[in-house]
Amino acid sequence: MLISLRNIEKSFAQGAGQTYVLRRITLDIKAGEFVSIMGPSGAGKSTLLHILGMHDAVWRGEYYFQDEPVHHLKPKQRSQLHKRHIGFVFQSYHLLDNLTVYENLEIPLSYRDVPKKERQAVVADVLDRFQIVGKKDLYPNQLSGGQQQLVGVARAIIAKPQVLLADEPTGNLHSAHGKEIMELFRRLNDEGTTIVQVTHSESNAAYGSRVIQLKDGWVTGD
Amino acid sequence: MDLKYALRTLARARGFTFVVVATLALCVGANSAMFSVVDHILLRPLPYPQPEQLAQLVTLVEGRQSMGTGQTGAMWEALRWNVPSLDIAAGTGGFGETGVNLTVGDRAEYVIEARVSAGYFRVLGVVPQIGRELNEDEDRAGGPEAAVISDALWRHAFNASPDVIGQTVMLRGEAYRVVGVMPATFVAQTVSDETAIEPALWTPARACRTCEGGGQNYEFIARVKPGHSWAEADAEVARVGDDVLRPRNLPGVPRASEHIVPLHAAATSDVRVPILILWGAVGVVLLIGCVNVAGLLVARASARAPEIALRMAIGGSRAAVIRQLMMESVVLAVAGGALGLLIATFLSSASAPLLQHAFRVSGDFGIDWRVFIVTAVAALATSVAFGLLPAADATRVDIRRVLVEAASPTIAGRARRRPRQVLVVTQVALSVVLLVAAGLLFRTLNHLTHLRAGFDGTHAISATLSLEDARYATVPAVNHLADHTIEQIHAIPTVEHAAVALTLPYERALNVGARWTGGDAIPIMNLTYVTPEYFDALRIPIVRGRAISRVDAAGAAGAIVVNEAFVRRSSADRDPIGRSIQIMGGPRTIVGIAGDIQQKNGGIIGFEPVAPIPAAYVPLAQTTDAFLKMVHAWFSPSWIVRTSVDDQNIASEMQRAIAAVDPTLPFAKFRTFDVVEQQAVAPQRAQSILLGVFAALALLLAAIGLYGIVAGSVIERTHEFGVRLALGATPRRAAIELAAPGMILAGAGVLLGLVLARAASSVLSHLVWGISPTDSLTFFVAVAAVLAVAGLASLIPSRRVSRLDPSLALRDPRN
Repeated sequence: MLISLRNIEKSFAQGAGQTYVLRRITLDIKAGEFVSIMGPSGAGKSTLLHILGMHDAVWRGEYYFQDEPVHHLKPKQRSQLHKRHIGFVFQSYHLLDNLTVYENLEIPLSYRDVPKKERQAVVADVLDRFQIVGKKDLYPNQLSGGQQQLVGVARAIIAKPQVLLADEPTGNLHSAHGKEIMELFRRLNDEGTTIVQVTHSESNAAYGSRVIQLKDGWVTGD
Repeated sequence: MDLKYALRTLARARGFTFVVVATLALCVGANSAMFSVVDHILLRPLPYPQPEQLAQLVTLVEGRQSMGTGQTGAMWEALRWNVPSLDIAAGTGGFGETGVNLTVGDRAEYVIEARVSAGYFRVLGVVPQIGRELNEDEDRAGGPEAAVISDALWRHAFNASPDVIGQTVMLRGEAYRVVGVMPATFVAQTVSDETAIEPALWTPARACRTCEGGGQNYEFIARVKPGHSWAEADAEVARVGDDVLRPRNLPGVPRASEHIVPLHAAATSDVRVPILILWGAVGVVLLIGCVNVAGLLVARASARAPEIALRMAIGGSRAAVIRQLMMESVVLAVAGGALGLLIATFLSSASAPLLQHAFRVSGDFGIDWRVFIVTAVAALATSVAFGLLPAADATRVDIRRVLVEAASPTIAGRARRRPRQVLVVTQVALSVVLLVAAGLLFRTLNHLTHLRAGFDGTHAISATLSLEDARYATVPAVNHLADHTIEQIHAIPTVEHAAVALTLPYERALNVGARWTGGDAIPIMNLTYVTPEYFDALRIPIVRGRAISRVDAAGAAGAIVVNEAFVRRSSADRDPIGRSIQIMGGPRTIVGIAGDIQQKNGGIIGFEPVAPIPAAYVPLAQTTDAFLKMVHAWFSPSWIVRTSVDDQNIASEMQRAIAAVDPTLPFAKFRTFDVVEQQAVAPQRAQSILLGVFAALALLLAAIGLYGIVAGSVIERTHEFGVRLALGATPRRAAIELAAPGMILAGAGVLLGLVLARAASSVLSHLVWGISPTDSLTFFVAVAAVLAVAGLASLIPSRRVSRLDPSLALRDPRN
């Protein structure tokens, strides 16, 4: 099993009690799946996604990634695991404004200590694959929303992660651009990348093979 | 890669980069310039071999902090050969270094001469590059006249000829044989009190207990001999000195004793406190600047939380992100340090004349490698130290919260704002302290420069020349010169009055003791000789009695005019007119009381740096040969001319007048009385200007800090104020609400600053005259200035909210 969650819970203190964001989340995700997490606002979808992405370390329960007990790992070990296997696509693209398209793609590789020559080759390959070679020297504020998200997706997969997590990847996009992004996700999934997306869109969820419903922090459907 | 990104990031944040680099450059530059002064004057060892063995002999009096460096001839005779652990030499000190007329061949020039005993250079440990130093035979009364010359004089007067030894120079009209040439690297131990110029030649002091040795007119330097300790030498000096000082150590009088102190400490004792105050002030500026930089870096790190969170979300480790942020700090440090060095170099050369006169030092305060190192370290330490904490703190970001909730730095930023608020309060407080200090010094300067002069210097000019000349060693000779030159000057159509005086108003005058005939001693007072038109030339009023006049000729009854300050201190209970004073070896009758004029205080306790010192005037014609020989070694008398109109040619006409009487006696310097007054308060002027500049800089930096806080608040609270405006708040009210926190911080800073300034006032009391160190007006003005600047710094950025479009602000909280 690629990802296993057992009784994951997250809460924060409010007054005398606790407010729960996630309640006893237990689920498994196999390698190669395309999973959509859906639910109303405040259901805990993004929170769950960020726990899966190891951005959030404040939770209870058990999280196994390729049988590694993430809940027992030290922050540095967690960071290493995350770097090796996980890519993340954000709703608001979150490109680095001071870096060109090329540099935005290069930076995850530099954080993974990939030698410069190899970085150049990999970035060139990804630019070509995503057909954005002509945009490599532009800054994010010179790109459309769809192009920015394309770069965001390219950045997320450039280090060849096993898992791609996407938080409302088309939420800020025009429907045509959104469709392009989803088609891209399908192709990546076909190539073997496990995809877990948070989405409000039924049409986006249709690209996947499984839907997990969340409501008030509980899994209400799978 | 980090460097490339750092440069690009900083280039895009031009405002932030400019403010940080400018702040660092100004603070580091000012500190480096001041450090070069401190280093030159206080820290560098004396430029002599084994300087730690060099001492100055001083007289310490119980209960007094200052040390008396002036020594008598009696002390010289007692100490010279009776302290086995010391090699002692005498000199006439800075006060005795005056200009003299030197003739080499057919060239005449005005140079600075110093008089030293035999062995002076041996004590300093410096050997002449050619020839020898003065010997004992030359240093005795009636001995052969000899001179040791400087390298500069040797080069320009003798063309660096190796045959200079044995050649003759005419000094004061007398022939002196050159016996030695000092090395080019030799630095004189003291420089002229008036000109801050090093001596061109050294002649024998011939120190003795008579003539000038009757007063404390020598300074002794010594070297502790090998095999002897400092304590041993000090004990010997104290024992020998006790015998000499016994007559003054009466019961009930604070006890005086003779001691040795390190020569460097003695030489800098009267400038140490002002320099340290200035260094402290510029250190405060650096502190304020560092606080500013820290605040800016904290704010910037806080504003970049989304970027930092993202970098960590896509795989960046904390170390990698911190490294990136620190690279930016290093770039800022390098830019700020480099610019600071340029500023320091400029400040050093621009302020050198001010500092030389203020602290009586020669040479330049150039930036050397030590200062460069200090600069570099200061810049790096500031930027790196104050960049590291915010960088480390910023990487503790909650990635999910920042990225997912689009949480503006507001949430995390409110907690982060607290340290910055504390920093700004500190900055404002320190600015208040500096402003109060600068204000006190400015008011002191104002007090000193607005003292009632007591005379009228308009259309009056002074010209000085040296009479330390064998041809003018007698009263008749000097009188003849004065009479005939005045006669020539009176032939100039515009001249109303002309006179000669030993010293001018605002100058340091001769200190003498005196005694009522058949009565008590009169405390130390000033004495000057004048010719009959002196009081008319300067329009000094004669309050009672009469002025010195032509009836007071040689052979007539001794006459003396005293001033009002003398009467207040020494004859308040009795009419002084007609009383007799024993002075200059004989009785003189007080014939008149003159109005007070301002004189530079030459060490008389109880008077300000410039004050109406108790003084007396004697007719030139009734002085003595011995008196003239003594005083002309220290003072160059001045010719004073009052014209009816502003005469642009008066200087050249005066030169012709004196040339008609003696062509070899050129006037050395012409000065108006404005210039004379300015020179009298040069140290106070320098200190107040420097401290004023530092205080203004501190206030500017504090204003930038406040501006930054309020501006940051505007950005953070834009969404909030969009809501407020949409709910009906007026832009004016919104602006005031935004500015209020800045003003509150400024208020807190002012309160803290007042407490600190009050505590610092005791330190400043050394430099403050004419006002109290806790002067209310000064404190009030400083506080008002800070609040006004703080108000502007808060209101200017807060006005942005008045241009806010609520619909835009409500749409995106990050706009």
